[in-house]
Amino acid sequence: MKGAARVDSYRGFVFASLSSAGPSLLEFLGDAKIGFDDMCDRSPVGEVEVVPIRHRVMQHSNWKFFMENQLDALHPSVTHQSTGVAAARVERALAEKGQTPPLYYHYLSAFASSFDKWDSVQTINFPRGHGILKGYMGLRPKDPDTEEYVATLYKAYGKEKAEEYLGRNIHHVLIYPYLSIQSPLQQLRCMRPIAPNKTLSEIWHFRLKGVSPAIYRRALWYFNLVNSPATMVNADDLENWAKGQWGLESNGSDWVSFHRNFGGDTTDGDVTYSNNGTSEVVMRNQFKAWSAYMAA
Amino acid sequence: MTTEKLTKRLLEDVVIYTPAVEGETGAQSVAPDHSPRQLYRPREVPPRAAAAPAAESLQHRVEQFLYHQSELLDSKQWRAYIDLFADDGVYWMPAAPEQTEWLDSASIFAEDKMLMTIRMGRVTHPNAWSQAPMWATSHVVGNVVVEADSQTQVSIRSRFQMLELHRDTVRQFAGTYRHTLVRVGDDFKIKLQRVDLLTAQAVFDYVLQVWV
Repeated sequence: MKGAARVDSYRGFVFASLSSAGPSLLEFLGDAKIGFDDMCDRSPVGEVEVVPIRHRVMQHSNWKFFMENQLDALHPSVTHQSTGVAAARVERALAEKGQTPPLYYHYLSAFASSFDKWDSVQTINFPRGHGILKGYMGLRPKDPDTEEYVATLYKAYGKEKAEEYLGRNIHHVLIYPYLSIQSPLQQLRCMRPIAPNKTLSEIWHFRLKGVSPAIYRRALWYFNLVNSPATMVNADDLENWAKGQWGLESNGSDWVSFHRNFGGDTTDGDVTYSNNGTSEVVMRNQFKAWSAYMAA
Repeated sequence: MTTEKLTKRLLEDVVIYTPAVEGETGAQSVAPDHSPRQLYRPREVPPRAAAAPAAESLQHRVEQFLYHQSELLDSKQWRAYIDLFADDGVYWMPAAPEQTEWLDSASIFAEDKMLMTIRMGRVTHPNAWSQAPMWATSHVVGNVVVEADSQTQVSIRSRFQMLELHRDTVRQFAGTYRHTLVRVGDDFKIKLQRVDLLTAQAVFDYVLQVWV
């Protein structure tokens, strides 16, 4: 096997480049490095350890479908409607019986939220196609486990710093063109393009060092319900991406428009914020990076 | 972008959760049934071989129970399948064969009856896009061994083969079932169905939508 020309790491995550030239790892990651910071800073010792169970699922679509999907706030209530509605129904049934539904049901029921609410979830779009979909699940309940965990972080970092770490409101951080980091629940998905219409996804999760098993279980439930090969979420994405791929392979249309909210985003230096969460600025930003790579 | 600016931006909190009220949801409020497929209809299940009570051997009775379970799955009788479980019953498919519990280790499925009910609600919803293409399964259960037997509980080990047709694609799954059954009169309820899939850590071509 040929050695990698360059190897570097950030917060313990090792990256290799087959090219001896090109941007350094930190230049490449840019502001999107916060995905790794957000994951690790949620541990009182600033580290995570990988759980040696990796799920692999083949997607019958181009890798771009996944990348665009990760920061897209318009699709959840449509694509995941069935799961959101079914989970909300069970949450309601439990609440009517005076029981508190487990936090992790909300990983599923949140999908059933209204378009207006999804529109309030902002995206932040960085150079090189990287970006952030901000959080929306409210993962800081007021239970004894959480309070103990918050106290541990206060002790480790001081109140102000700990609040900054806990307050980071992130759903996904995307490292274009191949990584999606779900940092608040310590999940990471890595895409490996196999063919123009075939992409292998590798799905990992991590354990925060120095926290109680109860906090790890929150990450575990997300891994089981959303990221396992029996996912109640990705099943519908995969079906829709495969159909989208067939559409692109047909002669039905030469163009796919990404015009939603064009001209309605806010640019500050080299970063663009969506004013509406469902703006297709995400796709525009990714294609800007992609066409630059293709022209290089 | 300065780190300080990004930090400030990320501290702006949006939580879109409000306790969901029926009918107030996103796409559901626009098009509750947008499906090109026919409404979900479970197939009729062949009658269970007369739940042969005490006179028959335990071996025969647990075999009949497992055959019935296969028929329910292949007929998409999800509610009847869930009802095979005891109130505290669990369907568990570990991610690796050495696992002994599901609370602190990763699973492919780890579902009590509530989570199973959510899964049933998902696959029977008219807008479950992944349910639009025709799909069907055929299970065969064999090598049935009674591993332990007490007044209250029976432990069964068996092997399964499942062929799945999804559009024009055939997938094959195989593995081991371990059923912990509680005795209810002359019948049984599932306290734990452990499913060790031979291919649990292999590449999945697409995903599993319902219980195997």
